[in-house]
Parts: sequence; structure tokens; C-alpha cells
Amino acid sequence: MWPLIRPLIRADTYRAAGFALVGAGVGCLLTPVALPVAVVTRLSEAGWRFIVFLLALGVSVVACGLLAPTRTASIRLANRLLGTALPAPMAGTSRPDRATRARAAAWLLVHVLAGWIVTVVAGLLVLTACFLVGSWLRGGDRIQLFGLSVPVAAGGPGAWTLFAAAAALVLAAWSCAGSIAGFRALALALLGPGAADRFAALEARLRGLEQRTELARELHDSIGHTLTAATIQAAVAAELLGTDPAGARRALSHIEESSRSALDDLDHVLGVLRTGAAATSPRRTLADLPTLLDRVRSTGTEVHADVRGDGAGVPATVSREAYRLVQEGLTNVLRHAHRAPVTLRVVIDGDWLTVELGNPVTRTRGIARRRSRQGQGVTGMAERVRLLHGEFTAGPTPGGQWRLTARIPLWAAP
Amino acid sequence: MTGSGGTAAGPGRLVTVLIADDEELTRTGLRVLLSAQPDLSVVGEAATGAEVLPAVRQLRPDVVLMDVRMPELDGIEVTRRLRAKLDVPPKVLIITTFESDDHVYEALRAGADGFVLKRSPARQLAHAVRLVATGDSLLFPDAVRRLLGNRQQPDAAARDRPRLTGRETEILRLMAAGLSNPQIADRLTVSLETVKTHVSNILTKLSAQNRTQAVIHAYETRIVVPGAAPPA
Repeated sequence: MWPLIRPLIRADTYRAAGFALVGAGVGCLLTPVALPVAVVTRLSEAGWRFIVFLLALGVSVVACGLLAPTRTASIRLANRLLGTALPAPMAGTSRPDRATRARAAAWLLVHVLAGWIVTVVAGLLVLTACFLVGSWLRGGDRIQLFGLSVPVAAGGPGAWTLFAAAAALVLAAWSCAGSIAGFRALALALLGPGAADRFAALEARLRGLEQRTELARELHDSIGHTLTAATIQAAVAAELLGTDPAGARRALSHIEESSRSALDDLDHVLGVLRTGAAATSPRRTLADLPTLLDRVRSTGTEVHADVRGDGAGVPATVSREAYRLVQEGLTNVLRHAHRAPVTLRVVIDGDWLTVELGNPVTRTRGIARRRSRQGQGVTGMAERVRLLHGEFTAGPTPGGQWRLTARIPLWAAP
Repeated sequence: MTGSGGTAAGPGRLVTVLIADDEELTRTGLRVLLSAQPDLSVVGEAATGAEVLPAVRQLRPDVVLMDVRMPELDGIEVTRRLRAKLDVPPKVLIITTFESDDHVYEALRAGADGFVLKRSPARQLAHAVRLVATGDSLLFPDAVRRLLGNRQQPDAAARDRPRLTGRETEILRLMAAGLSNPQIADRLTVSLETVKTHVSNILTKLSAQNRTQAVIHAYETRIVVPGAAPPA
């Protein structure tokens, strides 16, 4: 008995009812759009007019569902009422891609349609319960129920209505509770993250990791450096203590300064980690390429750069990715192919952006080492280019070069 | 860290040192510490990589104590230039803040004779300078093994392994373990001259400029496996 009536007291049941009501409500809101269409068609038969009305309603629901804000709102609503944990689109990312928007439109259609069905079914069951009990309390009556004429007797003989009403309420609860599982499954399929969301999430995570690694490296370097200086000065102080007390005192005050500066460094880094201030650093695009190249050239590495096409027309996501590919590629060259001249080609042509980075590798051993040590970096690059519907290759060429090539379509940018 | 390196410089012979580091505090600190040794003499300092070559030409130090990381011209490039431009280049002892620094490895490949941590105790620094000055045994073999052990060894390298004789391979392993020529002669019960000939042949076959480069090559081509126990 208990499992039978459990849906009556579960919060999920009422959330599902609320969710269905919202869907039905959206349908109602769009009725003023669909209704005039049905009227304007001037079809003689009411049946046909109703079908035209339904079609117009469907079209307007789909149109509404294609809008990016609708998708965001749908995700929030699903997370709130259905208990899903769908990732909300990140602020500042570009519009979702076509497939994602189509899925969101399908979702709104399902929401409105199923919302109506659940609302009508559950509503009728609740109304039935009210009518039955109401008639009995008013001293019996003959009531119309779903086309049936049901006599309700007064007093004891009519008490069956109480059981019937309870059964109707349980059924209503079951219909709501049953719908929530279906809603959830469909929400995951239709509102789940699209390519753009996945890319943005990956990008954000990568940026966070990069910054943390960078921060850790900086801290390691600066603290290691300062502690080394302090160690040397301590040895100096010990050496000079007997013969040159003034020199020893100087060495001691250097230690004091070094230690203080090390502590300042620690304070600074902890502050950055706590506030996440580093996360606000600007994201670079192809427009920042000249600065990057200047910096690399200043290390003594020759860079032959050939940049063609108008970078202004490149979507921000693609531009950022192109910059990062060049940056990572050049970093690898600096790290592994010491001072080898680098050729860089960035071509924006029609629908494609192409990045080509090459540098000579003199020994096969060099290539082997690069392959194993760069494995992760290259995998990450390939993954991001793939998410942008691009093509990526990296590896040694028969001509003794290490070459990285990425082609990213401009049209498919999420 | 090593066994007795032997001060082949001899009691009467003063080892002259040039200190190259972009930080003044480090330079003066090292100067004080090394000058306290009776057999070491700091003859000059260089504050940038570019100053090293002219200073070496002028002062002719036995050993250049060189910071691996310097702005503009780093220790790797300076090592390379010293080797390329001078007929009798000074020994190069790399000083570094961190043992696992890629730059140290590159500097050793470029021909530096050894490396030592800046934070080492004064007597260890002095020992390193003396040992590098004589060049007859590898400095801090354990540290070199760690430095190379951290790297993934490319399998492809094993293919262009040079043809060393069994004796030469044996001697190379002993060199990697930090033994000096007299110690090797002792261990193998052969004459010192024989060992010297073998060592010279090994260096030629591996086209190595010094023991350190030969040992790096030995590790890279897996003639000696890092992490394996040194020969007993």
C-alpha cells in the first residue's frame, strides 16, 4: 500500500507538475502567435483550422526554442525542477552551434507537448476527485464523468466516492512522477553540452591549469633563487665572522632581506590563488602574434613569419586557438630544438585558417625525444582543433623537419 | 659525494677561477667562499654572458664558474663559444639553483665539464672546482645519473651506439661511476698509461670533449643505464 501512495508525498511529483505546468504555460503564451494564423487561413472546417493552429503553434515553439537565451533558461529550469546537473552555457562564449540549437528547439517542443499532456491528465484526475467528493458532500447527485452518467448517493452508500477520489489523486501523482524520469532522460540528451560548450569548458580548464602551472613554476623559481642566495650569504657570514665582522654583518642583513622577499613572494602567490585574480588575465588572439614573435626572436631564435589574410574576420574562438597553437609550437621549439630557425605560416583564406610551424631537426634522436616528451601537448592541441572541426597533424617530415599543421574552418566556429 | 678526486693541481699550483653570474650577491658570496681556500684564487668576475669571453682571453683562468641562466647570453651558449673560439678553453663548471634544470643538461651537452648547486657547502664547491680543474674524474656521478635518469631515454639512440670494445665499455662504466684514471687502473690492475689510452680512445669514438660528455653519451645510448647500481 505504501509504495502505491508514495508519489503523493514526494517533492519530485510536485516539481514535475510544476515543470509540466510551465511547458503548458509556454504553449499558452505562444497561442496569440498561432491563433491569428488559423483565423487568417479562412478554412471552412473547424477541424482543419485546428490542425493549422497546432502546426503554427509547433512552428512558433520551435522558433522560440532556437534562440540561445531560451536554451539557457531551459537548462536552468531543468536543473531546478528536474534535478539535472546540466552545465549552463558559460558567460561570454559565442552562440551555440546549429546542432545544439536544434536540440534545444526539440526540447522545447517536447516540454510544451508533454507539459500539456501531463497537465491535462493530472488536472482531469484531480478535478474528478473533487467532483466526486463534492457531489457526495452536497447530498448526492448524478454527475457526468468522461461521458458517463454516474449516480452518487447521499450518506453511507455514496462513501465509495472517497475511495474513488483517493484513487484518482494517486493516479494523478503517478502520472506526474512517471513523467519526471522521461523528462530527465530527454533533458540530458537534448540540453546536454554542445561542441561550443565543451570547447569553452576545455579552454577554461586549460587556461586555469596553465596559469596554475605557470604560478607554481614562478614560485618554485623565485623561492629557490632566494633561498639559494640566503644559503650562500649564510656561508659567507660564517666564513667572515672572525676576520671581517662588518662583512659578516652585511651578509646577515642580506639573508634577512632575502628571507623577507621570499615570504613576500609566498604571500603574493597565496593571494592570487585565493582571489583567482590570475584568471582575469586577457586571452590573446592573432592580433597579439607580432608581440609573441618579437619575444621569441629576442631569445636569439630566428623566426621566418609569413602571415597572410585579414585576421579581423576570424571568429574569436578560432583566433585564440590559432594564437595558442603558435605559442605552444614555438615554446616546444625553444625548449627542444635550441635556437633552430623556425618557419611560421598563418594563412586566412576563404573559409579556412591554416597554421604551419616548421623547424629543422638534425638528428633522429631529437625527433624521438620530442615525440615522447611533447606527447601530451600535441594531444591537447589536436583535441582542441578537432573540437573546432579542424584538421591537425604534427610530426617529422621526410625532409628532416618537425612540422605542425592545423587547418580550422572559419564557418564551423562554435 | 665522490671518492677522493685527488688534487692533481698539486700543493704549489694555484687554481685560478673566474665567476660569471648576473647576480652581484652570488658573485661576491662565491668569491668570499672560494678565496678562503688556500689553493683557489678568484681572478675575475663577469656580470653577463657577453663579458665572459673577453675576460677569459684577458685573465686566462683555469676554471670558469658559470651560472647556467643569465639574461641574453646564457651559460649554454657561452660554453659553446668558449669551446669554439679558444684553442685551450678553460674548464667550465656550471653553477645552478636547481639540479633538475634542463639548461644544466644542455650545458653539459655543449661541453661544460661539470655542474654544482649554488647552495652546496663551501668545501663541496671548492672540491668541485679542484676536480674540474684536473679533469681526471667525473664530478658528482650520482648527480649526473639523477640528471640523466629523469629523462626519457630514446630507444632510437641505441641504434647508433658506437662500437666500443669490451674493455672500453667497462672503463666507460667506471668513468660514469666517478672513478679517476688511477682508480680505474687500480681496479682493473692495468697500468695508468693503458687506462689513459683507453679513455682517450673512448672520447674519440664518442666524439666527446671531456669525461662528462662521454658519460652523458654513455647514458643516452644505454651503454650505462641510469638508476642501475654502479659497478661494485
